[in-house]
Amino acid sequence: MLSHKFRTVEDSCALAIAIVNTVREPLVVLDHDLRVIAASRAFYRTFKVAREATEGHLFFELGDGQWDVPQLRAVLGKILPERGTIEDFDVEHEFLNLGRRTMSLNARQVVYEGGTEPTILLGIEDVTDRRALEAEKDSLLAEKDILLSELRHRVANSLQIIASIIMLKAKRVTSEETRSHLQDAHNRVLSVATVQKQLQVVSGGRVDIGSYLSKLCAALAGSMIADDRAITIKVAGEGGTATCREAESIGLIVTELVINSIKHAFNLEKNQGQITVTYDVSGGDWKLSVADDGSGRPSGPYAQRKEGLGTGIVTALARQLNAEVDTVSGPQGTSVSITHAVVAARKVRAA
Amino acid sequence: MSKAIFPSQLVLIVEDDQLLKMLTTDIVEEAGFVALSAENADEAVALLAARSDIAMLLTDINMPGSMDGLELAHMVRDRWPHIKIIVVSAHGEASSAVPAGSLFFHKPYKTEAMISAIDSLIDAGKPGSGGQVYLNV
Repeated sequence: MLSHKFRTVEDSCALAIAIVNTVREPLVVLDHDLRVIAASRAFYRTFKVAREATEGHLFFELGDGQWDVPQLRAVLGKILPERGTIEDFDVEHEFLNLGRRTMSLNARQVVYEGGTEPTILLGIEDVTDRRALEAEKDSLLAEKDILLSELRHRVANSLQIIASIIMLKAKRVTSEETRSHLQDAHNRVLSVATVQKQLQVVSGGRVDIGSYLSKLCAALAGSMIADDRAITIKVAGEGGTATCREAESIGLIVTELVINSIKHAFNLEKNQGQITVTYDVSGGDWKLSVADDGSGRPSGPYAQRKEGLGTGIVTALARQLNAEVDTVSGPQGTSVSITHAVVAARKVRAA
Repeated sequence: MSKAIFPSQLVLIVEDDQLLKMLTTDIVEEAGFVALSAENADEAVALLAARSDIAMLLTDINMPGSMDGLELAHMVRDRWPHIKIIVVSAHGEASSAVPAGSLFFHKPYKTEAMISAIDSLIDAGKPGSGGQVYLNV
């Protein structure tokens, strides 16, 4: 198509030279021996070399051999002939008039149908400043993650202290009702503290749910189960990863349900048993369940017509996660499932 | 709630974190003693020099001032050997550096364990209990 526009080879050459001189970035055209056929004005200006000392010379000999870099030799001598193109290949090198710079190379091998030997178009972009900014950004992001983790740890510690203060106050009051409210407040504050403490973000802003739930449940067992009660908490399932926000909600749901089981599932008749927390992922769907082998909760919050605070919290968190809550309670125990499925998510959004 | 039967049942809390100071004060009061607090070692030494009714020092290690809680604990052991000492820290390795006869608690600690330790340590020093008894740590 382009060839039809030009009547002579000279006209095509004139266009090619104009293109080379128009591009903003340094560009060189090399023959198959890596000898410079032409170079852009930007190349001469950037690398402070003269046209007469460039054209017709071997590329690796230019400017006292400043381009004679092993990485570049590998790119032009081996990788390019094999692949045909090279994109965004960084070369860090001490250049004669520029000092240490990082150059991003884009190269294309041009093969001609008429039998002319292939030529190479080599674009060179000085990305030193950009790479430095990227490194600084990465460093700042890493620093932010450390600070955020430290902040989360401090918040968790403060909440733990507040929970302990509330518990001490609960012990001092004489009214049973007030004590019960203070103990509830203590449990809520402690559960948020425990979730915050165990929430460790791994790379890519994702949280490993399996490890997170294991640590969370170990902490819950340590702080919520009295020494004289033989209740164990087991974590099962394939695990998976979730965003920090999702993991926080999942952690709060687990905490709420585990505390409910500890409080209601095991009584004088059955004061020992197991609570099993399971998290399974399948594609974009996941299912969380907290099941106990206690005596069931016929009079517990999930069996009541009127919703308790714990149920309300679980329902609200599940809604945030576009998930559905399903509770089964009977003589064999209670199981609460939180399911996030594409179909379920649509139903929740439509409700 | 105070057990103030004996004159020397004041517990001096040295803690620069306000929230922890509130909790420790509640713990001391729950144990049945009267809490007195200082922000740093210098303030604590001034209080110790000015009063003779302090029965126990309960100090954090990491805090601003001319000395840390560990140095304060050793100074108290030397100058006021009758005062019981509990040292708390988030760094467990400090446990071996506390003065002989004092107790070390790793933060975060269980409030019940601390209440019990304060109680037994002060009770051990009461008249009729056999004089100064240092607990093994």
